[in-house]
Amino acid sequence: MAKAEVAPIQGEVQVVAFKLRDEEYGFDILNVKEIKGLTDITRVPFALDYIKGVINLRGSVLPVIDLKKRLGLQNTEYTADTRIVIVKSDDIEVGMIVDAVTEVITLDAEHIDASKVVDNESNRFIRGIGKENDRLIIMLNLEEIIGLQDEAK
Amino acid sequence: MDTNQYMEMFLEESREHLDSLDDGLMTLEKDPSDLSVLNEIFRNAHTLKGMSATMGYNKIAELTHDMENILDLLRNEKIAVSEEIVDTLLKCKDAIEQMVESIGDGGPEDVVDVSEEAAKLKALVSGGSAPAPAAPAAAAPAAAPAAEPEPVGMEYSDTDRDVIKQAQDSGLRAFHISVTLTESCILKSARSYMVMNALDQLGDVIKSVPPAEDLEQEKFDHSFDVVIITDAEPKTVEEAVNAISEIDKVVVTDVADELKKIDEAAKKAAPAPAPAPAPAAKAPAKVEPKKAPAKKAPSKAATTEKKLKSGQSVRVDIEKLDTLLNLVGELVINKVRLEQIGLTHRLTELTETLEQMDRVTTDLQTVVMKVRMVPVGQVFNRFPRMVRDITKELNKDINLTIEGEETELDRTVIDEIGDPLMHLLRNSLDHGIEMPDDREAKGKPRTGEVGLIARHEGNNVVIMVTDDGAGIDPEVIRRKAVEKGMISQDEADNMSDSDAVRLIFLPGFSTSEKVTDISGRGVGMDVVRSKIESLGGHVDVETKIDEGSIFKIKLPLTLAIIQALLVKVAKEMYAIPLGSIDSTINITQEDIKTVQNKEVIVLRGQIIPIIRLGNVLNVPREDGEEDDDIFVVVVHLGERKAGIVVDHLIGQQEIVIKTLGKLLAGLKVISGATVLGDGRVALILDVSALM
Repeated sequence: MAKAEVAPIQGEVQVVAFKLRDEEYGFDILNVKEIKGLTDITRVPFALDYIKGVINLRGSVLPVIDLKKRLGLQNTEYTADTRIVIVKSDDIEVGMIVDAVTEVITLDAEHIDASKVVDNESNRFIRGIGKENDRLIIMLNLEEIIGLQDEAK
Repeated sequence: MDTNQYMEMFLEESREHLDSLDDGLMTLEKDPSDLSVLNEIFRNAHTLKGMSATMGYNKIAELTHDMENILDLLRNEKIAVSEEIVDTLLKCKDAIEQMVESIGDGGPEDVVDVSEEAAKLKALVSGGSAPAPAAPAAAAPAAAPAAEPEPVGMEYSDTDRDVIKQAQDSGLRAFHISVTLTESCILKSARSYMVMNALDQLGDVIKSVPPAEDLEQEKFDHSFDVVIITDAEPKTVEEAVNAISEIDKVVVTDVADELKKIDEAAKKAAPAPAPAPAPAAKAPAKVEPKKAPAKKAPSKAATTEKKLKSGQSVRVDIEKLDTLLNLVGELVINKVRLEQIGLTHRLTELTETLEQMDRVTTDLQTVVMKVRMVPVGQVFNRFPRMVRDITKELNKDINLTIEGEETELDRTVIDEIGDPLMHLLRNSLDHGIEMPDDREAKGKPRTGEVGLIARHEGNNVVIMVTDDGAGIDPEVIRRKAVEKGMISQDEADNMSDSDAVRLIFLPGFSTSEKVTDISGRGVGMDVVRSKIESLGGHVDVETKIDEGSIFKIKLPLTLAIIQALLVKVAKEMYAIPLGSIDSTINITQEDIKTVQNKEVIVLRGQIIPIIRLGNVLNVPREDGEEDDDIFVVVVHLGERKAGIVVDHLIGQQEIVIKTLGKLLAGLKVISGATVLGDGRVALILDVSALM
């Protein structure tokens, strides 16, 4: 499943844009369940290093991924703007820690460059790069980030 | 006809009949003279035939027809029960089972080639006796004529009359509908259900004879009577019912007329059967009011009204029960949270109310858990057949004893426990029990005994698989383990016999010298162990050479809510299930000794290894946090004990177990998580993985 080509983006997409360090990233709004302020995160021993721990989301226990660590970005301290974006892919729900959620924007598919511009190890996490005026929004490939198929074993 | 809507029913009923067919054949094999069993088997086969024919599955119908032929000969003692016959019948049953499963999966029915079985059956029939086999099948109305007498005309209790009167006052009419199904109708309950449904849409069904639950269970012959209140015309009602297939006759009578007649009849004190009014021109005798008054107690009729809409039992999707259980879990979490608020703020009134609520939630929890409980017999049922087949295959002589099949377990456990049990049983049959000659040489009876025993033990259910076979030789296990490099020779030499035997539960250990069809398919005991541990259970083995082995599976009664001890290491909170805790003690650093480089404590003369939880879990620690005062939670796993060193004991609490989800599945040491009263998440320790 993971290895299959990610469906190209068509038409207009609504994107939840957020910041990691100085860059702007985005998830398709259809994958985003909710956005939550930072809460207590319980560390889970023996879990993969990018899994920050688990949180209580209205009574159910949800794993949280440190998105910066997952993408190989340098760590920064949590601030008042730090958020947990709860996303869902297939039937897996996880939280993603991001530095700040900026806005929900509508991108035209024409403005999303699906060719892999950035050439490094982590580009498998990227679906494309959207342009909105002067801003660049890196669209993330959720399935790969959750990475249930390969690394979670 | 459109069969889709009956599919589920067909599948479920087929499975039931197949199960009972299986049981019956097994009993028959043991006691060939038991004619009552034969009748039962015949009925099963016949019903299967009827159902499959109705649904258009001709292969199944043909095969069951052939089975019926031979069963009929057996039943009439034209031929004797032989092993060959039982074998063939069992094979047929298996074939049908496969076909039914295939149908259930949306596949075709002819997934298995039954020509061989069919030919064999035919051969057995013709070899058995000359009398033509065709006759009995068709003639035997084996689905035992229902015990119910011919449905009677309606009786109307005072309550009924009141209801009808009220309806009439508000301009509605009450009709008495008498429905007769065709003789050939197989799924009678389905038909009656459809009739009820159709009528429900037209108006309110206020009573039926027989009552709804009897209709559901097919406790009626071919006709039944219903009274409904509606604003529809009699014609519409009649058409609605007639639109359902396999309906032979529908008679709609206006209840007002009927009542009048009943009253008149009562007045005259003579059973004068007045001619039926217009729509009931073709009314059969049974709507005549004369039979009505005496037969049934009016008290029953009065309650019928209520019963009608809810049967005695409901089938509920297990998912709905899971949701319910989750909700109860949430409730418990919030209750605990409230309790803490009450304690912190010293609110006596709140605490008192919460005590009341505590009782209610506890009851609620018990009820929900009970609803999910299923007797373990559901799993055990399939084993006699398996044991029989394997025994034959191995040319061994084995007797299986089942005890405690009424012991109840959570549905989820029941679903999961089948495979591990099957594996253990196979092992016992294959490796445990010796060949009859060998047994005799050892001075044991030729017949090996294998037991499957379930019983309650405190808050647990214990299932044991026992055999009086060869037992497991710890020496062989030691040697194997060293050969495979799983342990060193030193370790092997220092290991107690019982520990050595437990090595069989380690991954990659399979003692079977030769791979047989029965066991040793690469699924080892480690799979059994991990499965059982994933259910929160524990498996252990006791064995004695030449005396046999006992595999003991201990399972928690419930999977969802448990008592646990909360402990703290540095700033992290963990929950240890109370079931595995022996005691807690408070010691100082000096009490910890080292034996062979391992830290131990001595507790009441017993040397217990200790595990520093902080180190095992890599808990981040700030300097100077370590206390001289340490707490040790002594846990046990079967006979073994260990002390878990923690910083603080927080207290005992009811916790709701939540899974960590797919992303975190398969973690060592952590078996789940729970949400604490303050909303934080604490992880639940898997004690067995720590030891």
